[in-house]
Amino acid sequence: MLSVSGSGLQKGWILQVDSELMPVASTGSGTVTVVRGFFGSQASSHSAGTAIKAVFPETNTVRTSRGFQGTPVQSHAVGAPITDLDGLGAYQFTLGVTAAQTGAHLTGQVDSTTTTIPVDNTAVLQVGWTVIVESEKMRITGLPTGAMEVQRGSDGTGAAAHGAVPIRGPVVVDPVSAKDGSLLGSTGRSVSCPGGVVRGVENLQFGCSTPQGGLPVGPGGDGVLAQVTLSSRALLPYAPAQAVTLSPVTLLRASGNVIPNQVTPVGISVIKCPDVNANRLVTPGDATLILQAYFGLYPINLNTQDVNVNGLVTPADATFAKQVYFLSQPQPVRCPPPS
Amino acid sequence: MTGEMRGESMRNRPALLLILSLVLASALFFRTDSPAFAQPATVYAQSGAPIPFHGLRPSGVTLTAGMTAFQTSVAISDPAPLKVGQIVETLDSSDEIMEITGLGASTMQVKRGVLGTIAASHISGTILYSDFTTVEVMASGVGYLPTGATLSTALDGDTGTLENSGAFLAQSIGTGETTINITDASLVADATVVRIDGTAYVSTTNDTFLGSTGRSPTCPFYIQAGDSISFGCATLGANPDGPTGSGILAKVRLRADHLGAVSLHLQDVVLTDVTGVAEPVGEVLDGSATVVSGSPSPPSPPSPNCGGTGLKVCVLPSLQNVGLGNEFTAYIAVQNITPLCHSVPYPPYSACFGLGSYQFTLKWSPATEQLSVQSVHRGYLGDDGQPWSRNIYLAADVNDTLTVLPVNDSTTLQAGWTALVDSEEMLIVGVSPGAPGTITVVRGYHGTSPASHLHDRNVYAGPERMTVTRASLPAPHSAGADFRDNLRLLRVSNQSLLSAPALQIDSEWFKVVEKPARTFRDTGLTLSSNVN
Repeated sequence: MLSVSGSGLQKGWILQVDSELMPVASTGSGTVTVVRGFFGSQASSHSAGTAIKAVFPETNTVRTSRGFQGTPVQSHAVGAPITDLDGLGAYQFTLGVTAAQTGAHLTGQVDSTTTTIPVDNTAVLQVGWTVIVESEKMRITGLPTGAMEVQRGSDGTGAAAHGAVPIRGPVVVDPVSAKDGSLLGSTGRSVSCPGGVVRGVENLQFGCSTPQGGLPVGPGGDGVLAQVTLSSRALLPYAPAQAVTLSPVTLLRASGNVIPNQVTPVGISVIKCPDVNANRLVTPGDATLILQAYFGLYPINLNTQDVNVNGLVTPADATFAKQVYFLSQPQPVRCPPPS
Repeated sequence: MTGEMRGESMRNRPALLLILSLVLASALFFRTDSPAFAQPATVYAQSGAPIPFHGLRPSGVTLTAGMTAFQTSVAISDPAPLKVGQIVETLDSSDEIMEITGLGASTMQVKRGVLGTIAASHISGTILYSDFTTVEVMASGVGYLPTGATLSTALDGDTGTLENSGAFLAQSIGTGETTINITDASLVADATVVRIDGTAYVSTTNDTFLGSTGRSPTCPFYIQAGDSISFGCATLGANPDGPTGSGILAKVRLRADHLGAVSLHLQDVVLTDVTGVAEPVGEVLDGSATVVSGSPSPPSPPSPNCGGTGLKVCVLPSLQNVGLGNEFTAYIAVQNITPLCHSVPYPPYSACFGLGSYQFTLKWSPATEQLSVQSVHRGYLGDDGQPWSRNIYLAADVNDTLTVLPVNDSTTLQAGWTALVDSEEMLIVGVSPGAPGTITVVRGYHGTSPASHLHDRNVYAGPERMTVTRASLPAPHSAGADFRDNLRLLRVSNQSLLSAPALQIDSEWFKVVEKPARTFRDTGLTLSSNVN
């Protein structure tokens, strides 16, 4: 037991008096009980007034390894701000493409099995469309007077009873699947997407995560969170842009803290598959033929050359064809056989 | 089909709920970035081009069984990239397009021969194209998290800077040992270089005495090896004669890296006259230094006086005080060298000559040695990073205050080791060997909490240690020596604001090894009575 000049020593600290090392086994008032001559040091006599050194935690200090992950070691000035390298650790989003209103409505109550459904306006509907009534998708197979004949509960949605409610549609773009992109795992963190893809009526939900905390550091900056595949389900005149919505989006740091985010909306159009030369492949030749048709060097054929379905053959149609070609590299997009 | 599809979606939901739970828990229990510091990230969907209606691309899905022209259900490799309502085309000689009407776990139901194509048979392995396009969900501006904390002291950019580690050697080591027991491995985790402090060699130079008569010394003999320097200088020719009397032969510069005594042992001294005949040295005297805190004034160059009479070679000053971290000089002096008379093979056939050459070896202790760290191991973990099982367990229930713990076998345990029982670390300070036996411990070591433990709980124990690559000519070191490492201590304005396992300052990244850091320094307390 050592008598000391004050208090503050704590159990477990390693003391050094002269060159003797002594772990503190317990503390008392003005005394500490130590193990003498520990860690191979030599127990020796010490005089009153000898300074006591110790290994102990010090407020507002951090022991670090410099130049982590190959960053250059630099000088740093007093007051330099310190950033937590707490990058992206998880994300989740819901991507949807919401169908517009058709302008038609069911005219009365229908049960979950009826396949000929009275509607107030068949002129705005088309056979082959997939429409949405509340949360049920229906595929229109016929349009007799004052009604639509449908396949109920298509795309895995549940057939249900409905009242006089609006009909939305057609489904132009349908989210199909998703997979993790390159950003989340880019620093070497282990990525898992345990929920897989959860498909809704007009959206899909997807998310991936990494183990909370720890190293490597989560990524920062810009990158691809996920790749989502969309399927084209209907072609509308003028190829109106469909709003691709992302909501809600949750980004978490590796620590689990929430990263605030803002979503920038985008639109995407469905255009005619631009196979002008009927070889079933979209190639630069198709764009060339469209331009030639525009300049009167090739016969006009709206069925194949009016890519954006606006009733005209213009250079814009050729531009769309080139975009599809470049989008699909290295393998060209195949179009269905000419109708 | 629809039922299968619904079932698939429902199977996914529990896992999704886990993610949602994580998200919700995060929102409830973790902080959101402070808008004062962090800019929000931007998320958007990026599409390269419009979607070609019914444009077909490789889906990555293949038929896993052949199908006839009449089948409407077929086995496929993976339904995940597909969805009911899509069309698929078989890329074979028929180029049949089918519409997907249902999807199972490994099957696809289809409407055959749509869009003007004709149903045909297909073989297993047929590649399917489907109508899809890809959009990328992008994140932009995901920033790391400014903490609001700042550096309190400047940090240099010197990668060679070594700071006191706070750890000590827990055993004396010889020159061949590469696994070194230390007091606390957690203090040097992630260090790549350590320097065991002692006395470091700086330089050796010939002094003025040998050339004082106008002869030209050359010093070809120079071997610096760990904790010693062997050095020698010579002159050529008969004229002028070499010096006699007393003088400083050489100056050896050393650096004091460690508090305490430094021994300076002089050995293997050889003096010759100008003809190469050895002068008999009467006595060789060692020196020493005491390394103290502060910066005592360095002694003036000493007069070449080894004390007493006769031909002596000595280290001067015989004792000097040196400030920690300072360089100091050990002067190698010769005293009372007289002309050496002996026969020569030319007239006058007998002559006397002064000093023509010298050599010596100076050896100091303790020495400073820098080592490369290969790995660092906590005491209770084996070299594989797993708990070090020695088949030792508690022989009885223990409460959270007991310090003498019964174990089934204490014969292989040693004082100074760290033990782990459940999640409590303990420092073993005493062992009563036996099977069963007991160990005396400091409970709640390394900031863990003392807790009760049940009979039969494993006691994982071993020495805190590091494996190193030694210098080409390593030096021995004594237990209790402290050492430096290349980890750096950051002094910050408020460590509680820091939470990540790595930090960024300017463009340099730092891995956090310990927060708050334990440092080795004066406590400001003193012994209030003598201790024997």
